[in-house]
Amino acid sequence: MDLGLLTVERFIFQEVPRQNPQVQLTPTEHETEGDDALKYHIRTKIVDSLNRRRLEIIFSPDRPTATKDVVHSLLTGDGQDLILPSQELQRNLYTLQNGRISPGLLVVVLTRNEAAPGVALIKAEADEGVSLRPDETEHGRRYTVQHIKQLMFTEKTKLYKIGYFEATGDEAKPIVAYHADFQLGSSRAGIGADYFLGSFLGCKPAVDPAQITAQTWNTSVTYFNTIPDPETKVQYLLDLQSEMISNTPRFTVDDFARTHLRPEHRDDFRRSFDTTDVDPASSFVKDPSRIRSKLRRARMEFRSGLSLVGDQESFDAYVTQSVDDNGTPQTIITDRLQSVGGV
Amino acid sequence: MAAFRDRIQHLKAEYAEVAPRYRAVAKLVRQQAEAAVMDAQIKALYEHRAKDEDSFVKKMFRKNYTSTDQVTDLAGVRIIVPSSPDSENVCSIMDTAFQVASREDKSEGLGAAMMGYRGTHFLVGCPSEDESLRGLQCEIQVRTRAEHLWSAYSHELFYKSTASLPMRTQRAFNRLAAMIEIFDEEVTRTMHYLEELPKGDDLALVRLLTGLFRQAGESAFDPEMTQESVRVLQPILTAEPNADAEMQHIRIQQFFEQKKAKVTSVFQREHQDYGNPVVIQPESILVWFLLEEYLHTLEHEWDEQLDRELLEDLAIAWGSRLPEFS
Repeated sequence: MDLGLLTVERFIFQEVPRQNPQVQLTPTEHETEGDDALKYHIRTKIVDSLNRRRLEIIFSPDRPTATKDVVHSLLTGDGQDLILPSQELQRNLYTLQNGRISPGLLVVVLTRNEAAPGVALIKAEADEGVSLRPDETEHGRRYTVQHIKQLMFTEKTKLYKIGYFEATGDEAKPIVAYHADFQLGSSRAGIGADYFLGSFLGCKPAVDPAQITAQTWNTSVTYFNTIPDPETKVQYLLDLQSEMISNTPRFTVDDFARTHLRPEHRDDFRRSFDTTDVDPASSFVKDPSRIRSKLRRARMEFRSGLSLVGDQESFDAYVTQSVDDNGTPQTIITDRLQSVGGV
Repeated sequence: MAAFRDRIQHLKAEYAEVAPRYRAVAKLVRQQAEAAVMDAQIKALYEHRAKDEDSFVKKMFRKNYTSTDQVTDLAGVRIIVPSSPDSENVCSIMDTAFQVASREDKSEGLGAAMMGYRGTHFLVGCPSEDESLRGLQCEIQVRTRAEHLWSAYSHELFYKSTASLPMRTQRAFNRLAAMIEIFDEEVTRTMHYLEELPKGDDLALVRLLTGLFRQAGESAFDPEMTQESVRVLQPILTAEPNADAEMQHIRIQQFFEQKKAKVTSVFQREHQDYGNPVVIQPESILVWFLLEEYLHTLEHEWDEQLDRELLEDLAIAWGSRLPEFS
């Protein structure tokens, strides 16, 4: 999705406090009148967030929420009323605010990406900071410091949770949607407990996690096998295995390339996904169920016909790749032979 | 005397009535000329005007004209280009972009032995569909920067006919005029040398990018910033096996053709008070091309030598993904 010409048109803030039976929810009755500079700033934050961590999502038939209807009405309606729909979203999100979820603000933003109308739903938390103003007095310079408790959308902070929906004009796929979350922990439990994506937006990943995980694995391994250097090839495979079984709930091809591949291999690796459904820039939720056996064990095949099979830890501990003085690649296994047998 | 003054008042009133239409004609012809010249990637400066009231009155008297229609330069557009070949190309463009009523090459009047102003003047019909402008004409002057300079000096200094000047002054005048001609020829020769430089050279890439930048409707930029960025980024284009610079330049050009509307819109947006002026640079087009084609190599090379935040700004402006910086 190209967000280059995305513009922010209107927006409204709704408070989402912690649930408290003693306190009544206060809805905002007016849209915020932002000038072009503020709209440009919010546009920058939305584009930056979606480009850094985006997951394509769809409305989940298993989890119907009012959000779906509100988003549809905002995208397809005349767009006159932003206040009532945003209040409805505020109530929905408030009902999910248990004691473990931080209070914050729901920002409902109407956007336009060239001709396409869009809606961004942002759950943001205010930060604290100070503003400094130097004053020149007769006794010299003095700084006046003001403590700001409602600091948001700063240059260094990212939006915390965002759901972005855009009308496509395509009957087969009328809405394209993305989710980005900067609070999602590194634990796999984090994805299950993602109240914003599942319970509030009523969405789920657009592609079957098991299918896209397997496709990413197969495409990656095919690419690794085009690399002439055996040591690099094996190292990349082991790194991919580690990433696939790690506790991090999401995987992004670009991030893997950046973290594990040498610079000269990264773009070729990225291009190897051109003919697949995998968007190297987008995250997907990992589900290694279809490649479980490949993750437990790695296999090396040699030109002689010899094969070496083992688990990842054994490869790390006992197998080294090197090149001898004549430039011939060597695979060295440092181990004790335990038994032999015919195959 | 009274009749003379009456005629002046009459001419002024007559011109006041038509002047707004000629202002509109001049503006329209300039816009059309500018668009056509920009499409050909020729860098040019433009001026347009409707003749001012005093000049109109004086010309009517001086030439003994009886009708406004006899003054052919009531609307005027001037196109000033860097070199003589540019001037020739712009003249060809004018021939096809407008309905040309007449064309005058001022050098032809000079002959072989004379030196002086050598611009080309066209008289063209107004291209508007507007009924009130139809049939009005506009003069287009095409000249090099050196010819423009010469024209300005000659108007200020040599108000007399050169024939009436003493021999020594006439010789000085001719030397000055010859220098203008020599200057134009040297500019042409230098530009030819620049074009012959190998395509892998930074300069060739800078020239390509600045040409595309102009096609996107932009002109002002920081050349040192462009040179520094191109120095760092140019090797990415030829790092791939079998990738030669000339082929990559074609790819950049194709990328630009496909994304021209977006590039133009992004530049326009960043021009606003709240925008990011650093983005409005020719090398941004190269960075956006690289973000789409060589994301990781770009990021790696950039982080080694340039400010990361600038790359993030360029990626956000373009709406491209940049792997998260950790």
